[in-house]
Amino acid sequence: MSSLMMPLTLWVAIVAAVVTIDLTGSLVAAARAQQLADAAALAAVSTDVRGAHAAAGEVAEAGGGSLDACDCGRTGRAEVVVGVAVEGLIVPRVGAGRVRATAQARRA
Amino acid sequence: MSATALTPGPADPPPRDAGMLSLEVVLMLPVVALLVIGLVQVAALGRDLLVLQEAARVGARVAATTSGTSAPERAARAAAPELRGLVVSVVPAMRSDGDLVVVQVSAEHRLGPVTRTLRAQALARVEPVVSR
Repeated sequence: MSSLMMPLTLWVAIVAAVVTIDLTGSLVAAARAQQLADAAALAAVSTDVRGAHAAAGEVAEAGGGSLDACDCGRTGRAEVVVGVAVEGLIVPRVGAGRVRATAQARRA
Repeated sequence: MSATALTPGPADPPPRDAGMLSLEVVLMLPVVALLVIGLVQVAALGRDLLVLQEAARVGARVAATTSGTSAPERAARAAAPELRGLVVSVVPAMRSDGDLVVVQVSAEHRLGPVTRTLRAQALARVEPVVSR
């Protein structure tokens, strides 16, 4: 049993470090995605309907994300979905490489 | 039927690995403590990154409705009062309706003996209430 303690401790430490780093990466990416979605939705309602999609896409791409969906066809209202790549050690390699955030905005 | 008397003999010698477990635990304690401290430091780094991202978001939101750099800088600093050496940049400084404004914030974070600079940025489209 005693010979197992050192490798077991190291394994636990490595797994905990990977989980912590990936969790942090996911949380930061989620925060960035939400910020970009908010900004894209506000940009969409700040312009006329014809330019709303382009304005939202410009904001999302300038911030390093992508505009995954934009319901911008109604005057003064917009709902956008923005995706952002997740940085991390394991999570991006197992298929969870992007987070998405949704935001709605309505012109006052 | 015969009976053999049990005579007290010398005590069995202790096994050769007796005490090894406790010795290993003692040797492992500093290692475990270092690992725990490292994990706490990494978690603190993640928390600082999130606070920095929030400061950038707040700064960008204010920058979208104002012109100049002082109001976004104040807002970003107020959103992250606990970060040391917070540097805020707002580009462009003078802006008008439709411009894209980028707010970048950076702060120093100590990870043991190493000091790293963390960065975050957020952007927004300047709203029609702002005119140059």
